[in-house]
Amino acid sequence: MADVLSTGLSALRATQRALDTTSHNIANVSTEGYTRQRVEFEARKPEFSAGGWIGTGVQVSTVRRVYDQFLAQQTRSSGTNLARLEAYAAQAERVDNLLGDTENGLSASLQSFSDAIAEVATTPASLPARQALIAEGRALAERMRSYDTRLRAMSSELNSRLGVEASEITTIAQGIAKLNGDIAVATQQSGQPPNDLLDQRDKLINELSGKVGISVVPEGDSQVNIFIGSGQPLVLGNTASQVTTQVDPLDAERTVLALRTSTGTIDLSRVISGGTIGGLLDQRSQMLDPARNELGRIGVAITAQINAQHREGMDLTGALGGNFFNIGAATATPATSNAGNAAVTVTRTNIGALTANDYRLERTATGYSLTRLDTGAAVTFTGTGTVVDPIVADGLSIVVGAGIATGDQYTIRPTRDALQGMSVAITDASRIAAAAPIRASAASANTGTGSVTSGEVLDPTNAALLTTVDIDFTSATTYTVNGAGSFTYTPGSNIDINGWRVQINGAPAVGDRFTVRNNAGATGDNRNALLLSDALRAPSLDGGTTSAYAATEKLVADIGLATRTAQVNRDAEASIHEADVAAQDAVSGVNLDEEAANMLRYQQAYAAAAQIISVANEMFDTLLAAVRR
Amino acid sequence: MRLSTAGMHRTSINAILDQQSRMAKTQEQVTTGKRYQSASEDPIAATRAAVLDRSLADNAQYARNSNIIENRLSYEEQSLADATELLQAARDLALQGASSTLGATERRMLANSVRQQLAGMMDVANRDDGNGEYLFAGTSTGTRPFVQGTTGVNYLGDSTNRQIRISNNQSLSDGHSGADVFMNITERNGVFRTSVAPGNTGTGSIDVGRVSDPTAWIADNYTLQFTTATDWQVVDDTTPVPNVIASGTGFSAGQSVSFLGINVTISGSPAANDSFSIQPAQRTDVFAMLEELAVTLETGAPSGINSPSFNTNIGAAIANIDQALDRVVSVRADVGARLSAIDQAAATREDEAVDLQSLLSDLRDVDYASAISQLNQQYAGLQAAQAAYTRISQLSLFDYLR
Repeated sequence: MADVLSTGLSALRATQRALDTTSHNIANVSTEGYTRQRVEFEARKPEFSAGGWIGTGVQVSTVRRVYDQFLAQQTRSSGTNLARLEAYAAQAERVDNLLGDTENGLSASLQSFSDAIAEVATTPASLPARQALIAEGRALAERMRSYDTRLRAMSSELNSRLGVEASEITTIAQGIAKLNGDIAVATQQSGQPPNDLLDQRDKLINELSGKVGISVVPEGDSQVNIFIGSGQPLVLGNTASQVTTQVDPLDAERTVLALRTSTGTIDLSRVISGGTIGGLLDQRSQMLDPARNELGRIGVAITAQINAQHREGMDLTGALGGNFFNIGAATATPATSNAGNAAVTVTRTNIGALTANDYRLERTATGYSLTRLDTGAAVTFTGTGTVVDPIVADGLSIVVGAGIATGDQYTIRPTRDALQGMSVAITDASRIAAAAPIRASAASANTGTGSVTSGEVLDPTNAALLTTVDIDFTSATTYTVNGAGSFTYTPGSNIDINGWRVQINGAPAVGDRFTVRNNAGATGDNRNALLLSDALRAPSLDGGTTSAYAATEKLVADIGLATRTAQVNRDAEASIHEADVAAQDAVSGVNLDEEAANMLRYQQAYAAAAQIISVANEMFDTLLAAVRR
Repeated sequence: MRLSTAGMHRTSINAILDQQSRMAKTQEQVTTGKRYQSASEDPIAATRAAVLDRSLADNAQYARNSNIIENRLSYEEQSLADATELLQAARDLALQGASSTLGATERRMLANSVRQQLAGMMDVANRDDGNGEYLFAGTSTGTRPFVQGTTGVNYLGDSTNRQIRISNNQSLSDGHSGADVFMNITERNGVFRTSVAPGNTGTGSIDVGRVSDPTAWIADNYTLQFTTATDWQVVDDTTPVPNVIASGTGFSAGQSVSFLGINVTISGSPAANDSFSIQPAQRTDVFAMLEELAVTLETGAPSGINSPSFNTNIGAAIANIDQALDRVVSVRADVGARLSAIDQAAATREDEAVDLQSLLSDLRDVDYASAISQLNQQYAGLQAAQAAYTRISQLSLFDYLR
């Protein structure tokens, strides 16, 4: 009789727990990271009575999380990948939107500039056309500069984002460490798993893995240790390390992540991968920095080509052309750790050999080593770094000043800072050198059939370039230059004097004279303007295989392609992750219909258990009534 | 498979969001008419389109260039036509003046008319192209090219021709240097000049002569001497010892004398010891030619019978004008050839532009028919997804628990 009551009570208690759990499940149907729980029943220890073992009812053995370790891990790993790819693709899309604009992109600016040159070539005396060329040159420089500024802004934004992510990682790591402690205490006290705390910890671990690649290693039966990068401890038991950012010792412009532990600070920049941070870092090294360098390189190429040609021309005032564009110099930044204080000067000497790479120059015990910053591969060079014998590599000439110490490092950026200094050097439209500086003509009294080409400039720095030179034929096959010497005439061969070149063709007669003179006053001459417009299209980069145009188009295409790839990868990973989440959900998620059915079931069980109490009560009443009578 | 309630909602919502973003993409394509908005959407097509865009922009630039050069050449053509007329008029005046019936006054009047043609010629030669640039100054287009000096007209321009691109591989000069049009014209018959020696006593005059065998001609100074009224010899002046290179006897008026591949005709009767010089032709200019004509007319014989030197000179002046006309006509022909080259290039360019446009359109433009049908499809899909979601999410076992 007492047994009936206690059995009934045990059933009441157990179904009550089951209903509690069911309502907890229902209550948490929308809680992210919640794992459904299930009450495990077991029969109580039976009592032996005459004739056999009598059951004593039911008890709750445990409340279990319906959780699959393997699925959870899979979801976490695809989550890390997805977060990395999402961050990468989002950043790539921004770069692509900036550079890949097919209507108003860099190609369009370059084309407008080229059109303006062509316009000057067609109407060289027209001041409006010249003014338009200066304006288009400015627009091109501004466009390139603004691209650079935007990319620079993205880079510094990325730096500050790294800072935010680092502090978030620290917060999460601290949360995990605290939960580790709580879970250990709770488990120890009850011997039962604190399911909701475990869920919370799993949720934090997932969040963390979305930020950065981690490895999770269980410690004991209730705690987890978390390692970051290549095994640097982030959470050990209930203590967490701090992730911070610090300025890259080799590049003041960029921020790197570091782990502050009790024993010191560990640089994470080389070992970290995965998650949002991994995506951002990959993005910086694979797209942002190369794009900036490449843009710089294109700017350098345009400037070098146009300036070289412009200097070979003559402007409306009769002066030789100067530089058309200004451009920023190549830079060499000493590492903050340097012991010496030598100044390193880098000049670009060969546009064709210039790359979009950055380099590290290090003083070794025996000389120097030059490596690529991105891959660390050694770069071959010649020279010893002195003024007379500079280090020459990849189109650069590097001179190291006095005071260098062994182990000193310099980051060399050939093109990174070029565009910030890009502008048009000319303000006066008449200073555009559309004309050639010299003109060659045959004397009108010539009786032979000799003709002379209009002449080209080989060396605009020759001091005697504009000096009048008479070529007088002393016979059909010989001539003098300014009355001196006797040179053999070969039709069509080059005559190079004073930094210019002409060719004489045909059959000049004795006494015929050809004169090369200063072209001042030839306001309608467009010879140099035509050469300027050719210069823009001439392949000058990559060893003379790529024009500034082609390099621009290649940059846009490369970024477009990389963005496309990133998007495809992201979408693929998104569906993998979605499948993983669905698989995990299928096991651990709450289904309301299922809970409704369970509620119904437990409600009925509860009613039945209550009925047992009632029966026990009636039995007791019956017994009492029998005794009273 | 067991489904979680949150998962079911998420899947349905994701499906709807996907449909929406796809529809937004198609909508963007339809509203912009472009298949892609940034290079990443179709990197290959975007790169190719950039190259095509560049070709089209070049094409447009060439079209602008062609217009400018065409205008300038038309101005030049008009100026050359005017120059031709002026030269024709001068030639007519010379022919009129050659008549032996004219007196000194009439000839002076003719000379005045010639001077007017000369002024007109200066005017033509110093014309501008409508943009304030001199047409015939070479590239010194800001410098007035033809200026009257003390010894004649000086050319102050240069001989550079401005080349302008009218297609990727075709450049044309947008004019002719004044030196090539009005200056450096070889006088007389283009090979040699003839003149009557000042002391001649006979009535013999010499014509401009002809070249019958250009290879036999050696440019040098020669004198045709009549040792008697009928015997003649040609001596080479520059050879130290007078060197007879041809001779003949039995000369009669109007007979032609041939030596070294040329022949000259002597009209009238030369007297013994009369001589005529034959020298290499020199280069002169249109203005000097007209001036020479005017001077010839002014200083010609007063009336009656023309002097031998007048006859020779007026013949020479006419030959000169013919040379100048030849020059102007050949320059005009060159202008015409350039104008037709521009037209041809324009036709090619327009064909090319159409090709480029259609290629570009294939790459970049959206196919409206398929885009709109896609949009409809996506619209229907989104509607279905929404309907399915609302229907399915209404189903709950809890609805029956009461």
